[in-house]
Amino acid sequence: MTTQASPEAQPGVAGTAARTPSGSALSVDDLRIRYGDVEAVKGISFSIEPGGFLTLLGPSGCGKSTTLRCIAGLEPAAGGTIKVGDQVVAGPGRAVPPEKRGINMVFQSYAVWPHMTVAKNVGYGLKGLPKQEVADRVEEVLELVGLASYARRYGTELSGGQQQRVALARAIVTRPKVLLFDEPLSNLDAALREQMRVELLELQRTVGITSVYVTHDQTEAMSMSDHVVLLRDGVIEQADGPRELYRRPRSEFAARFVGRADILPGRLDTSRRRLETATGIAVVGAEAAGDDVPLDAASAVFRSENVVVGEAAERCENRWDGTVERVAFLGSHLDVALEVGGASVRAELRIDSGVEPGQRVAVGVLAADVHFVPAAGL
Amino acid sequence: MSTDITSAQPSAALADPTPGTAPRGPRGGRGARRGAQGRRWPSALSVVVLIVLLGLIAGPVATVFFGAFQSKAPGMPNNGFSLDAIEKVYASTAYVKSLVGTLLMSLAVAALSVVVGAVAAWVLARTDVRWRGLLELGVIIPLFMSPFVGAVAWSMLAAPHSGMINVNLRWMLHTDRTFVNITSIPGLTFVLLLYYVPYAYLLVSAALKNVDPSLEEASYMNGRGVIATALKVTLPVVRPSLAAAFFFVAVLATGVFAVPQVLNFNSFSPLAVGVYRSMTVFPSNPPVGAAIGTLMFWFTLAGIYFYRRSIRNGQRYVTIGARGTRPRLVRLGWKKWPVMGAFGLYGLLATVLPYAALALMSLTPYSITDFRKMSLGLDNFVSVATTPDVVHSFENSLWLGVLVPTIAVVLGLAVAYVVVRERGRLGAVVDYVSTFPIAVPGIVFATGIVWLYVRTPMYATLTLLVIALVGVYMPHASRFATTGLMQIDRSLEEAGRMSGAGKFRVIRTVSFPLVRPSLLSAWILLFVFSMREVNETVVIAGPNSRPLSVLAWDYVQAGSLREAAVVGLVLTLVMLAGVLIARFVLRVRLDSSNL
Repeated sequence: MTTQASPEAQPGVAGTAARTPSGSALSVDDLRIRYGDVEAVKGISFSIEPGGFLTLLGPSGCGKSTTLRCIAGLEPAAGGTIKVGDQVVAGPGRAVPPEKRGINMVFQSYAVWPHMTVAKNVGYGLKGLPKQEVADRVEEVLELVGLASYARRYGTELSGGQQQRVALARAIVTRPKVLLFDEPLSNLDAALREQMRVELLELQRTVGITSVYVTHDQTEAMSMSDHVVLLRDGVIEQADGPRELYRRPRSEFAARFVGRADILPGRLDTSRRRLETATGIAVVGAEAAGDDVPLDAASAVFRSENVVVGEAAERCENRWDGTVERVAFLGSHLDVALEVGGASVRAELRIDSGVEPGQRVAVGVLAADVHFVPAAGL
Repeated sequence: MSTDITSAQPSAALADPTPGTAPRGPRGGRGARRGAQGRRWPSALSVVVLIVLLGLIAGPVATVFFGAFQSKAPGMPNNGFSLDAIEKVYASTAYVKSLVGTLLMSLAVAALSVVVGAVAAWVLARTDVRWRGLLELGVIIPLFMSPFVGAVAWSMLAAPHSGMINVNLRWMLHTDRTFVNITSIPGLTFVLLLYYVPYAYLLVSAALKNVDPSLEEASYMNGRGVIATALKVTLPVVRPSLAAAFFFVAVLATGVFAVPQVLNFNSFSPLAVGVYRSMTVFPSNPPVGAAIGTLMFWFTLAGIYFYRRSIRNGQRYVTIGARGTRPRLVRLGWKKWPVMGAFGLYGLLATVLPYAALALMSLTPYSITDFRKMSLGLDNFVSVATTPDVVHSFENSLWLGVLVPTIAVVLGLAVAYVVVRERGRLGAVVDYVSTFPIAVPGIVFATGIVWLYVRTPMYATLTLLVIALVGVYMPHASRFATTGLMQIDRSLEEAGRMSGAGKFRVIRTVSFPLVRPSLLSAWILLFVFSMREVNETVVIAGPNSRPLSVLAWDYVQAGSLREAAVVGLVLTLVMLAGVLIARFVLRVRLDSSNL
């Protein structure tokens, strides 16, 4: 607890969902969490390198917050192992109480104690240190979050954004080995949320604390983390860097949850690079589909912003005839619904592209922008 | 309702043609009528409610103050203005000992109740102790029993000479020691404590449930253990509710006179007992009773002031968490056995032992407490329980038990509607007046009622008892209705108004069905309260309007403990039947979440 957590460590790419690579700041192995008869988390594994920023992303009820609370020690694990550094904090026959794990957490509701001043809130975790050192560290951290002049205020006298900073200051002042964020921005309004997102990330990079962040907001996940674990119904759907997750989602769910995707189900031919839908539309991709994609139940996935119309479609390997169904003006772009051979394709077009409902247009997508995933089984 | 009221209702506020005026300010009195300059006029409902409350509550209290300045009881011949009683009570040392004793006693009882209640609440809300439901029931159950009957039972158990514990331990251990003495100061404190712990428990428990669990989790995350978290975070956050519980119990304990009187307590004369004796015991001096009543009143009023302030402070701290996360339960391990033992001990002392003693006593033919000489038989019980006195009182009790809660709950709903939905200045007045009776000791209030109605045909009738008890229990009814109503989103009612229903139709078809669970809880609690009530009824009831509780009181005063035990047991069985019907037929939830 004398130095900040390994500032020299590369904040960056963590191992894929591999089992416990040595030297990770936090590793979770085959974690299971049960509420009565319901298994909320069904055996998930991931790890973070020191200084890394990992996000648990998923829709509500996917088990992400539960996982976080279990790492914190606030929920008991039904199975699996959690290691902080080299220390097993939860495992078979072992459950270190939350206060002894060397972890700190920023809560969704901030949990700023209303009966203490800001300084007392922040200094709370520094028990046993000399008074002067506590005061110095509190001041230093309050300086860092820009609340130095609020030290004597009470928690209830602060705005939401300020309480958020108090919570953050309180969590980093103890120099925890791992910092947990439980949807910390979800109670803020949109403008403040964006500002706090930037500040929070800057602060994390400055202090270099290994962080686990829970959110259902893909923008937060994409922009902040160097590793995203996408959860669905208590299992890991995909664990990847944000770019990989966006560009190469491995399932229809991942494609739909992150960004806007067009998905055309059909059959692959044996080259594994050409898919034909039930209505006879052919889609080719630059890369062959992976081995996990069954030939007769595959889906072609591409992003709405990669769909082009008119002359631009000439350059594309995939060219179809389509009809414009609806056009919505969204300021930065047009959201256009197209009908292509019985299937619906959404496109994000420039606002000067001049499409009208009912118009017949050529629709194109580059093969490089297409990839294949297993069709969602129904 | 006349059309001009309906037309001036929220629609007027919403269709406000003046641009730039916010149609609903934070304190906007919806449902309040606007005058020419936009001034809001109190609604007809709030005026009616206020008048009823003033008649029920302010009238009797004012009468007591009037009576304190009289030479005889108001309504008596040759009565005139006199300062004698006031001088005797306020300007002499005659009542100093009583005053100091009463205050110290109520503060001690309040402090102990809060400690016990708070620890119980913390254990039940924050640890993994087993049989939670059962343990909570054990803590709440004394609320549904009569402290007066409990005192009767404890004087059978632990009176210095004839108490069962002393008598039987003497022959078993071959000594003539006195083991327990319920007539002492610790004895009285003990019995009061048993019956006030549930109040403290409920207030603290509700506060604990409102604490955002992440406040405590944040403390764990900052490296503090269970005890440090409980003391440094949980305790300060619920401190307002601890203070509220403290003042509430202190006020109740100041006003109780039945328990010390039954226990034969004579270390000092509590003020409430002083009022009773001045009113009823020869040579009676009612003005002195009234003057003592006014003296008590200042202290209880102060207590209520602090109580209300604490409740307000408490609301400042309520921070409902973003999600319904449950607080982390502390593992007790082996410690759960002593903890459960403590709950068991409380159940034993507050419930099991007293009722076992009552049952035993009512089955014997004579007032004998020596186990060796008892000859038990059900016919002993039956022969007392079927005397005309008991049967008649039984009827009276049932009338009280049905009428008082029903009227009080309807009135309470009206009060809550005015306070929560209409607000405004009159709403604040209504709010204050409706909580006022808590500040008035029962015996003092009863004195006022008697004097106010002595010249009317209602004097000494059951009707007068109903009027008195409705006034006394108004605060409880309106508190339940207020909390219930506050939890209902106002837009549900507004949607009713928008769909063309008038205020009373909305109350009847939307508000009432939604607050019904709260009202049912209030009803059943008041049913028990009115059945067991002695503090007021003993002064008000006439020979033909005696309920069971007063009959038991009269038996105790006449020295027939055995008859008192039978009546006390009958009373308890009736209350138990009522509570069981409520719980299992009407499905009223009776736990800390809605009491």
